[in-house]
Amino acid sequence: MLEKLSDLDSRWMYLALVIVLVIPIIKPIGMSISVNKDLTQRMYDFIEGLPSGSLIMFDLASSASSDTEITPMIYAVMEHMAKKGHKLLVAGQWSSGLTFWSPLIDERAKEYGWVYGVDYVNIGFKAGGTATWRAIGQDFWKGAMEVDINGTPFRELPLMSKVRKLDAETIDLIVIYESGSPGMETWITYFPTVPLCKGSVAAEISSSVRYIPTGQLKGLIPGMRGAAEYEKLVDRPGIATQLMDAQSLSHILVVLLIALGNVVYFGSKKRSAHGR
Amino acid sequence: MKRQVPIILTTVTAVIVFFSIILFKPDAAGWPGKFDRMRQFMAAVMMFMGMANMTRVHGSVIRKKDRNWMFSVWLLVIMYVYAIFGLIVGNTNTTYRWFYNAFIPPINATMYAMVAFYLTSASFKAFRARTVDAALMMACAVWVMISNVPVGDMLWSSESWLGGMAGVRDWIVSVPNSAVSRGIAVGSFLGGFATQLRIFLGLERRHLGQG
Repeated sequence: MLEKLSDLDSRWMYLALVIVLVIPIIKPIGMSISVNKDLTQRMYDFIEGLPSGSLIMFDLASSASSDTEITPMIYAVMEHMAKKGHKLLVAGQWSSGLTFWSPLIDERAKEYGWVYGVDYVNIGFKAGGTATWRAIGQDFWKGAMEVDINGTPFRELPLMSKVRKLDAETIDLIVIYESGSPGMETWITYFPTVPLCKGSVAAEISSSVRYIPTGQLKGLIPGMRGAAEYEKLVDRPGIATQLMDAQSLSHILVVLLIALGNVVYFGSKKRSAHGR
Repeated sequence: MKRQVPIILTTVTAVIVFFSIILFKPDAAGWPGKFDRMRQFMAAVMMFMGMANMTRVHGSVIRKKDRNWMFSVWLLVIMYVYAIFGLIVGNTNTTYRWFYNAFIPPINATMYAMVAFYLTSASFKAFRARTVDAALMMACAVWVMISNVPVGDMLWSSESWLGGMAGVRDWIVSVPNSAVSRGIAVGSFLGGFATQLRIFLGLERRHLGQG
């Protein structure tokens, strides 16, 4: 039996994963989600505490590979912003992030009735890494080449008339959606006075949490679970809430496989010891 | 000459980058701003350097007809055609954007999604409690994994003693994990700083192909 299990074909595991992922999506179980008070709740409270009409900048430092985790976070935060009447400035340290999420943000903005140039602006990708962001910090217009993602000059976008620098007086909060480097270090290192929150893929949580007690991060949405928590807080369940059941079952499957793998490992070790 | 010129170039570049970082203030004018402009320019030049290097490396693969040389042809064709097309029509062109949106996000998402399958089979085949350290790591990983999903709350509610599974997870993530993660961050910074200093002083020459 143990021998058979040790030679278990990976394809059976792939099949099991597909089953545990697909079934709850088709027929949700509806497990309840508690909100992480140290991370998600903090971020929600920070945005909630900003006066109406505050300017929040999104930094899309991720790519399509993190779609399932980042997209619900963006939607949930936008929902919160729409409720509070905040303005949005979209930027990105990753060109792939802007390419992927800009159309989705436009779509959501349309739903909220946001007017482009008045309620939100997408400045597009600006090449040059941290040097460019530092140049933007000194003079937003010059550093960002004075045009948005579509090549529209900043002077034609009313919202941009208020955005002359990248500092705490101009930007009330930066929310970075990050799945790697370059990421939040750009803001922590060069713009420490501008409040920063983060929407993080699950793999990045462990390296981000250390910035919470120091106050360098005002809050954090941890992975898809965090996105589901934020959806709960803004009272608009979305894709993350739907996917939590699938994630629950897939995690259980992985834990069971780890346990089974170890049973097989110790079992075969015991047998070979007896055989000797 | 072959040695001195790259070393001088590296040192001058290192000086520019170094001073642009230490003199930086968000509202600084003058030299720090000029250094940043230089770095922006260097970043743009780097793209051409990258293209030239890719052409050299893959050109050699094609010339020698090495294994899978046809992929190198494909890479160079895509790189040049797409770059030239972008330069002609501009990066806001709908067709130019369509090519990117139609190919990169789905490929990117597919690659990442496949990791879930490898991870599942690796959890069975590779994640073994061979030593006490490995067993500890495994226990923490299992705990964090289960407490990260609603089923963790069902097993041990966050409203109960110690904040439930999630409470213990938060402690693991914010105390031992943060301590180790800070240690790694400081260690890698010191390593990076030492390497930078060696390049700065011209002692590190491996990037020039010298030992």
